[in-house]
Amino acid sequence: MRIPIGDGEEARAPKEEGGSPPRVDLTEQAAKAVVGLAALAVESSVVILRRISGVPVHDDERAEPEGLGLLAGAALGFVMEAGRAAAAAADVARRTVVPPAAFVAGTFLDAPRRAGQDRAAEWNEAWRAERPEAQAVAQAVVTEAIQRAVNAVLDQIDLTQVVLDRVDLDRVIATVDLDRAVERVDLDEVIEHVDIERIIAKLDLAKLALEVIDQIDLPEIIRASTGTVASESVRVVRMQTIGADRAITKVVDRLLGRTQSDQPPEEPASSGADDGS
Amino acid sequence: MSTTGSALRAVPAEARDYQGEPAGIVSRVLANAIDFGVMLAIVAALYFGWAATLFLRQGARFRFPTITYAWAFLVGSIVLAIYFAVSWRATGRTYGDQLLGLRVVNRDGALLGPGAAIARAILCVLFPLLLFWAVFSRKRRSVQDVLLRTSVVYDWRVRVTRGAG
Repeated sequence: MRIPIGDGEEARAPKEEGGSPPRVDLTEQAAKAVVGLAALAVESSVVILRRISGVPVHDDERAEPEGLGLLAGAALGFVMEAGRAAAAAADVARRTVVPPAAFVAGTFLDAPRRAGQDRAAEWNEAWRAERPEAQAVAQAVVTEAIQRAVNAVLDQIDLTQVVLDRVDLDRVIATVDLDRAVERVDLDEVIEHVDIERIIAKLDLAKLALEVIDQIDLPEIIRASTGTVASESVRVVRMQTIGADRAITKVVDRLLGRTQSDQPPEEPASSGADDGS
Repeated sequence: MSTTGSALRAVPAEARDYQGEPAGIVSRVLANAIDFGVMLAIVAALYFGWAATLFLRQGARFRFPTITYAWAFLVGSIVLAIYFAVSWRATGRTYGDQLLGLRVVNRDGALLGPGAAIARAILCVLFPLLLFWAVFSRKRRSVQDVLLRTSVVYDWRVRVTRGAG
């Protein structure tokens, strides 16, 4: 168990590192993690061994390290040291060995890797076959989990307030087809509930009517309408008498030998009684 | 005439050129004929009104009152004079003038004053034939018009022109 720790770390480190600066740190971290795991494994195996051998299991951390425990601790300490040293050595080794090794591996070891890829493709194929079912199960699990989570979240949130705070309701409403919505409303029913009497009571109808009448030139309309009625019947007579007046004036002028005063004086009465002829 | 702008709109286009011109003899004779009919109607109304009063007073003894020609002439003349004077003073036109689109105006083109209206009415009733002087007058004026410095003009407008034009 101990030996592979160093080796594992050593073997893994070069693979993982593509070539970034904090290499030592990373290998060290990895080593520590592996050692930690190993320590955990050792401790648990110690507990298991004790169980099996019938020794009562109680807080062994407090208890003095005895036989097996002491041995394990010492081993761990040693492993830690060994790991550290191995990490440093590995780092040096990696720096010197990896570039040519990578070259060699890149050149000669690709064939097996490609072969491995075929294997991977097979596995992939198998996974594809399994996938729908697995996905469905996962989907169901996720859905259920999300529902519960969302419900739990919603219970905690005042959604109305959130909407008021965050949502631009004007823009939302702009996208709503209100006409269609209104079409579905029974307006008669609505009107049933409206107190029209009260609304009318609020209006100053007299003032409104006066304003409307002000806008309409009522005298002009009356004059125009009566005027047309009158002119329809009277206009012809009036025009004919005017024509007769002119005809007679012409005849008289000719009889009296006047110089065609066809034009009666333009201004009606402005000249006064000067010529009483 | 200051009010021509809006008032002329009511006048048909073909008649606008004549507005304010002195009226000829045909128009005036026709107008007078109509006014004569109006006078007859008024006199008849007076007669029947009088008869009704008599009927109410006399009851069974009632007979329609007989009237002499002289009385009828006198009453008709008075009625006509009053009718003329009131019409000319009020609107410048009698009913006959109204139908034929005439108006009596003074030398300023405005309505007659009360004195002129009464004088012209009396003159017209007493000497109706003097109207025909208008046939020969260059400005289509009757003798009454000459004496009182008035004119009868074509004026189809409804509104009366007050004051000097």
